[in-house]
Amino acid sequence: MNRIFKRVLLVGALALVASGAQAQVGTLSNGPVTVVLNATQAPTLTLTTSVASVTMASSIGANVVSPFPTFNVTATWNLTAGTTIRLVGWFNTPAAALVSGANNIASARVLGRTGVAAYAPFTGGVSSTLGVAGGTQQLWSVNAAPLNGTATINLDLALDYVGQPSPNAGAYTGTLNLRAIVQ
Amino acid sequence: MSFRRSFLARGMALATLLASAFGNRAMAQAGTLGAPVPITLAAAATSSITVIVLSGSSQTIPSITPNAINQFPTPVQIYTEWNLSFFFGGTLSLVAYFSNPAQALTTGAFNIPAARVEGLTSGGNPTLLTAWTPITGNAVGGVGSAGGTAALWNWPAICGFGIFCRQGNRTDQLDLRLNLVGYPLAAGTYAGVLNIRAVIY
Repeated sequence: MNRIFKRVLLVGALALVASGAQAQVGTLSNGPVTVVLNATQAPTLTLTTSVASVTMASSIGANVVSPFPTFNVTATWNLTAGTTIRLVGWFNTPAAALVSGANNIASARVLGRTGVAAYAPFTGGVSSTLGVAGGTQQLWSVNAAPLNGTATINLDLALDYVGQPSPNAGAYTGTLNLRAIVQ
Repeated sequence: MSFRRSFLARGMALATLLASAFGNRAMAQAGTLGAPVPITLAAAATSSITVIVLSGSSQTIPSITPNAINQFPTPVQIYTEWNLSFFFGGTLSLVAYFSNPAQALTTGAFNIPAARVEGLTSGGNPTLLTAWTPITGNAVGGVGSAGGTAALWNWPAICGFGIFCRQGNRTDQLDLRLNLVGYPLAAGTYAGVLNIRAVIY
C-alpha cells in the first residue's frame, strides 16, 4: 500500500512538473518597455600646424622677398553639413603685423601663399566672418566632401621689401592668426 | 323578487369567501422565503510578468568624446514583478535588446552598432552583467535579436508552487555606455531604443 502510494505521488509529481514546465515556458512580460538613447557627436573642425613658430633664417633683405621656412597646415573635420572649408589668416593690427620696439612691419609687407598659389599680401577685409579689415587673406579652400576628412597644405610666408629698403634693424615678432571655417 | 334576494345573498357569500381567502394568503406570504438563485462568478488571475522602467527611460549624452568611453549619465532603474500560478523547471530572464544590432543608434546614414553599447547591472541578485558587457548576445527565450541582445539576469525556478518563488519582484540598475575607442564617429545626433522584456524559457 505504501509502495503504491509512493508511486502515485511520484507519477503525479512528474505529471505536474511536465505540465507546469510546458505551461510556463514562453510566458512574456508586458512590453517591451523601452529606454531611449541619444548621443550627440558635435561637429568639429580642427586646424593644426606643423610648427608653432617660424623664424627667418637670414636677415630681412632690401628690395627682395625674404621667405620664412615653409610649414604645413592640416585641417581635420567631422561635419554634419557644409560644402567648403576655408582657411583664413590675419594680423590683429595690420599696421603692426611684426613689431620691434617702436618699429613695425605692416601686414601689407607680409606675403602668404598655400601650395603653388601666388604670393599675396595680408591686406584684405574680413573673410567669411574671420579676420580684420586690411590685414586678412583667405589662404586656402578645400571641398568639405566627404563630411569627415582631413587635408594638409604647405603654407609659405615672406616679407616683401621689393623696391624698398630693409626695415630698421631689430628683431621683429608678430602673430599670424589662422582659422578655418566651413561654409 | 325571491330570485333577486337569493342572487344577492349568494353574491355576498362569495365576496366574504374571497376576502377571507386573500386575507389569509397575505398573512402567510410575510415570512415565506423564495428559492435561492445561484449566480456563478468567474474571475481568472492569469500568470503575469510585469516590467517597468522606474527611471532613466531617456538617456542622453549631450556631447560625445571621440575615441573614448562615453557613459550615459544616469542609470536605468528596472522593476520586474512576477505573479505565476506555478513555477516549475523554467528560467525567468530579463532581456535587453536592440531590434537592429547593426544600427543600435543611428543618425542619417551613420550608425553605432550594438557591439559599441555596453551594459552593467547591479541591484538585484543574481545578475549577469556584473562587468561592462557589449550587448551582442543572441535572443533569449525567443526575446531579442541575433547579435544585439543581453540577458540582464536569470532566475532559475524549481520550487513549483511555493509562493516565495512563483511571486516576486526585484529592482535592478542598468548602466549604459558607448565604447567608441577606435571607432571614429561621424558628427550628428544619434538616437536608438533599447528594448527590455522578461520571459520564461
